[in-house]
Amino acid sequence: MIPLHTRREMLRTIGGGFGSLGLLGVLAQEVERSARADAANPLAPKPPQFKPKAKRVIFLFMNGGPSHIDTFDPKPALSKHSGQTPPDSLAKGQNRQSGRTLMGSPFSFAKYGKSGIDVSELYPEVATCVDDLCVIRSMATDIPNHEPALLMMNSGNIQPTRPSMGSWLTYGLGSDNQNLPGFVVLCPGKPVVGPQLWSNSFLPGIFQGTHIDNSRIDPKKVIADVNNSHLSRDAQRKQLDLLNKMNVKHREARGNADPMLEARIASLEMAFRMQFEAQDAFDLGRETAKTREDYGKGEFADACLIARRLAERGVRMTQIYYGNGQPWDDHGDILNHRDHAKKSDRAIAALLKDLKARGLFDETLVIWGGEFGRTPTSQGAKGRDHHSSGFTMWLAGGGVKRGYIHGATDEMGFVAVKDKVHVHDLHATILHLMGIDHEKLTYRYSGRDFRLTDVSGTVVHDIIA
Amino acid sequence: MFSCRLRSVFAAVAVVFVGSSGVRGGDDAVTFFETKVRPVLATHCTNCHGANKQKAGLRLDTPDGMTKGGESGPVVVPGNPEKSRLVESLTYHDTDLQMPPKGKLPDDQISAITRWVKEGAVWPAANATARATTTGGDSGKKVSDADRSFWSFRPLANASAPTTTLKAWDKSAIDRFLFAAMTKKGLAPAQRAGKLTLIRRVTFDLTGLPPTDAEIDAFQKDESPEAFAKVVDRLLASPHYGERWARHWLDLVRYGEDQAHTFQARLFPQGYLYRDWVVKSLNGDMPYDQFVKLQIAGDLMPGPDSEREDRLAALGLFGLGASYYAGSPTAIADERDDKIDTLCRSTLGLTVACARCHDHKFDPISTADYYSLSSIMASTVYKEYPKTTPALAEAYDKSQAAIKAKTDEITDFLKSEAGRIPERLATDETAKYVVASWIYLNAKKVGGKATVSEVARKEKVKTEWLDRWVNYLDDKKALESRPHLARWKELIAKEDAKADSSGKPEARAKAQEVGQALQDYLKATIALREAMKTFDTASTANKGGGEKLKLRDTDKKAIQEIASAEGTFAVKGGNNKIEAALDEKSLATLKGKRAELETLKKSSPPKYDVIHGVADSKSPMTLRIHLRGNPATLGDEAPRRFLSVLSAPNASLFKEGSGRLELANAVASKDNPLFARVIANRIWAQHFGRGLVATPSNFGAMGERPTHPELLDWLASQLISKGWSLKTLHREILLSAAYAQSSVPSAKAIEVDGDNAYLSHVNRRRLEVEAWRDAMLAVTGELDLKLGGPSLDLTSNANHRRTLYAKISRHRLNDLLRQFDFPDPNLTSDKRNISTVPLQGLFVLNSEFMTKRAEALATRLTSNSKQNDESRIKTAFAQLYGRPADADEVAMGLEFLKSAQPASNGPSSWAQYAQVLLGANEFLFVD
Repeated sequence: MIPLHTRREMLRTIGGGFGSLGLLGVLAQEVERSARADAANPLAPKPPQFKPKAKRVIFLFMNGGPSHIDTFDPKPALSKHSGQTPPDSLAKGQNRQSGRTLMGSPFSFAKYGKSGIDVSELYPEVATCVDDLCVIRSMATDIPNHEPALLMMNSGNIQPTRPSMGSWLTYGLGSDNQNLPGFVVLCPGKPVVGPQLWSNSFLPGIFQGTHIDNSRIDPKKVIADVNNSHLSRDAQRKQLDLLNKMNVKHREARGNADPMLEARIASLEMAFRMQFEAQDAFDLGRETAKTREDYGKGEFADACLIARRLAERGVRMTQIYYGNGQPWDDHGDILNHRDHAKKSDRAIAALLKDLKARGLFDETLVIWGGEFGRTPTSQGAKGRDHHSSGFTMWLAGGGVKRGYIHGATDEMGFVAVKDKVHVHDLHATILHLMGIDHEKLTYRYSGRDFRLTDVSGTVVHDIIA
Repeated sequence: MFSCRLRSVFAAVAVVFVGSSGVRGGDDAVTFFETKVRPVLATHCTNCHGANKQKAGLRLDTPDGMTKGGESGPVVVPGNPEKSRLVESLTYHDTDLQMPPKGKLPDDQISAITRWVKEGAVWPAANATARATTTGGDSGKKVSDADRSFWSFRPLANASAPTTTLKAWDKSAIDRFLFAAMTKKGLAPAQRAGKLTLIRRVTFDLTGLPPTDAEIDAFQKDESPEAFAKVVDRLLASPHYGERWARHWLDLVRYGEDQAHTFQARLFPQGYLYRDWVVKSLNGDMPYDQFVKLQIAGDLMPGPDSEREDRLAALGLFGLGASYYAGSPTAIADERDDKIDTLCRSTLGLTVACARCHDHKFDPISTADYYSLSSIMASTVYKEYPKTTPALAEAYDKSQAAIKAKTDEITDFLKSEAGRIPERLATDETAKYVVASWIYLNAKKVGGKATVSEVARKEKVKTEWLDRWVNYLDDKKALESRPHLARWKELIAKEDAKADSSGKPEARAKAQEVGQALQDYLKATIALREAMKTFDTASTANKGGGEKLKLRDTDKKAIQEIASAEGTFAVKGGNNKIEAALDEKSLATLKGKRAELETLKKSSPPKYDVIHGVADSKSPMTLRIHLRGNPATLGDEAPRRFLSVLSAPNASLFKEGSGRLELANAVASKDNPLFARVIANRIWAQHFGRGLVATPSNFGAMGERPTHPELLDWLASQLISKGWSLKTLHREILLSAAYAQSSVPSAKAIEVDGDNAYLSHVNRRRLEVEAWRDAMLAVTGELDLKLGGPSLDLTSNANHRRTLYAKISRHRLNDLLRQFDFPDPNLTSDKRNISTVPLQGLFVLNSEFMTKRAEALATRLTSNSKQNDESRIKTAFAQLYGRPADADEVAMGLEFLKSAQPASNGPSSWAQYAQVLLGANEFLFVD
């Protein structure tokens, strides 16, 4: 069987005039039928609206909300005035500030690389990659609570439910590998809010993120029903052959004209292949000891390595949640950030370097960040509260500037004062990098058109290389 | 919120320019104006410079006004922002010319206006397709005759069907209309489908189940002309008809039993009462107008007491709606929007919710219309009606009140205890905390990584208090003003500032000593304070008039900082924290109270079921229009009334309570042409796989036009004239020649009518997931056909009920349902997606559900030991596909059974074969 992809290409090269170019009848019919079957496969790759800078996304999601002023946004003034009441001009309207005092970062910062970007002591390995990062210090979201902020970051709307960014991307672009889901979500357990964060909502079900619990990666179980525990491959092949024969007979009896019938025959065949390819993709046992060593140990490290394997295989978007629940939510003691950074630092750096070594970096957009940042003031003795009006995320690879800092918060880290980037703007920019105009990626549902960025969003051209 | 069809608007509007600049704007310029410029003008300028007020003679809501300018002349010079007073005023550079007066706009808005002027100040003018609207609020524009003449708003036409030359197509008006349109297109109807195809088609269509052997047999033997009509009547009378068609309705009303969000979500454990009410109403052929009225206002409608619970259950339409986090005005507005959107799209086929932020761009629906409906929803509250006798409800409520009183008593007790705890801890445990703090601070001196919580764990103290102690003792500046910490200060001063001394026993002993001294001091000071109180009381009693004894200020301060509710030992947070700090005596008291609470809980009668509905609020509200959909910027009042375009020009406002009953009567009225058209089209769409209007929830300008407008009106009129009987309409449609056509298209049809809009054959249909799953359980003999009742978990292997009875979660939709295109229950859905993907294939190949069904089918087929494999295969085909197997198929089956290897501990050859039969296209698709 010719892979669908190739037949599709062939179709494209003959210019779409089915049968009108004097192709032999049989061939024309075959081409047309597979084209129809392909049309019925919503995950088939679709051309972007314009030339993309990136082909896929790996989103390293630090759920719980990492502190910007303790990681990538140093604030000497904050340390200087530690213990003092924040000036009204900065703290006004901020999250539950009353009675709280400024708290300088307990972590030291240093400049790294040729670009001299500041990174705190939390991320020594990531610091070695800093010349590849595009750090946005002026992120902002609407509401400093986990659920609305998580929903905003993942689906562009503070209320449930809208399709998630990964669902929109796969809806718009399809996926380059028909034997794997186009949008994979790795989380050891579940983040707060859970499946809404990778929901397809009203988009067709195929665009839902496939959640994989990477606390125990069993290639046989990562995707629902991916493994047949009863039959050998040969026995199953025999079974599917009979099924195919019956389906073809059924189709022929109905004039071979129905693309739905053809599509289902093809999808069963794809499912058969997916069993083996998917299990292979999630099998870290196939990596060398050296690579395993580079990424380090732990759930997050495993997830990063899987993300690279999926990137190689053409998966459109892989999102890694750092941990179960909301681990970065350090209200009680910001020193706990040390632990989260330690568990992610090495793997992130290894992922960036590995992508580069394999020539994937330029076409893979890596994103780091959480749903919001944390307050410059202390909560309790040593913690920090949620903070939405200014925080940091960074992008790397696929089409963004390297060794670049965009935007700034005020001297204490309260508010994004320079080149503010709202989450809608980030989404618009990500879609742009992927070759999609965010205003033109719409889906008509029950009489209305929807899009990821709602009625907002401006592409941040300044960060694009 | 949603994105509107901006792009299409722009394709359909002409572009005019402010002033006379020759710069030509295209789509992009228009988009820019609509998204970045117009909203700014509408939100910040046109209140004073618009239709209502023209301060300084200036209007900024029309291109003319912009061109003309105000008293000081033009305000915009296209292409030249520097010379445009509009831009200058926004920059706030000139102290005499600053707009808007309330405060400078954000930079991005100013730069948008500047860019707009620079690029030529393009102002799109609406042409006939898009309505001229203001973005900021209600245009105040009345609905015009032209608006009312749009096809879907016109009264139902009464055209008679043309006669046909084809005898079989001349019996029903439906066929005559279709035939005429088809012939015009050069198409001819497909031949009549065979009996086996027909009974399978209509049985799935009406009940979502496959026909049984006996039913097929009876139909085949019946050679009377009424044979098919008899089948249709039998199926319409079946209780499974209501189950099947209720689900179509539930898609529309986004039926769900919980909320999408996570925290404090309102759940609907008895939501199924609404589902069952829909089933029952459809089975009883309740007139459609009544069916909808009850859902809008069942609580306000009269009727026999015996049917009261039914009337209330109908309210699930609104009662089971979205509820978001309480408090935020936007969230509350979202909740109202959910109700308006669901109601208007499902019953009227109108996207009224588009008018939430601006007048509808295409349909004659203003923001005033939207907020008039919103006022009705704002005057309606969620209510749980007890589904029990008043006496039982009262008994339950009483016991709940007692439980609450006891719970409050415990809370109060803990609160008062919390006040006493810090002093007890100060006198008993100060030393431990001083030592632990000392250890932590020592470790920190050398950059140790130990956290407070680790030290707390080792020293067996509580992190929360230790955290405060560490800060308290580490505050070096404050030490001066804390004489009670003098010895601590001395201790620290003597230690090596760069070494960790915490490991040395003698150093620790010293710290212990310092801590103990502080503890003794606190103990003595608190005792002294108490003694003084007694002394004071005594001296007052004696009227001794002796000297009033007072603690020194420094002693008071020490108590305040350590032993008070504000001090280092303060108990903050929930009851668990307080409880953990109680002494034995108090703990015993607490336990006693808890035991009493348990007894109360145990003796309480179980919670009665409730009906999740709505009721009128105590005082009805009139909202103001939210300009740009923003609850913070309010426009004119929007009194409760129905949509203007569907009301008589002089229609009065709603007067009764929330206005829901009046709304119900206005919606479900024969004078509302949309009401009948929309439901007639939906019924048609379910039978044929495509509506006469291909956008069943959008009958507005952006929806599709009807392919057969006269037929649609005929169907709608029939519905009304037959007393809104849906079953009569079904029957009319199902007995048409059109419905009985073969599903194989002619070559001509493929060529000229790929979408089969002219219905020259019947559309082959894929079974929805519910029907597919039910059919599998049916042919394996496992299906439990019990009707109604609480919803069940679909993942349970023991669940053999119809899929209709699955729990429907908005938070986490069941994987099987989601995988197979079940709609998102958060939003109204007018038709199912049909996706065909490998993940569905994996379910067919490998899922436990499929393998279990295959085993059950194999067992059923092989149980008759008198049959041989050949006859078993024939039985299987008859049962699964409703037709005999041909010789080729029998041969394929026998060949497979012969060569397949039974797996050890796995499926037998027959089970492997059965899985193929169940997974086949023929089982999934209906011709």
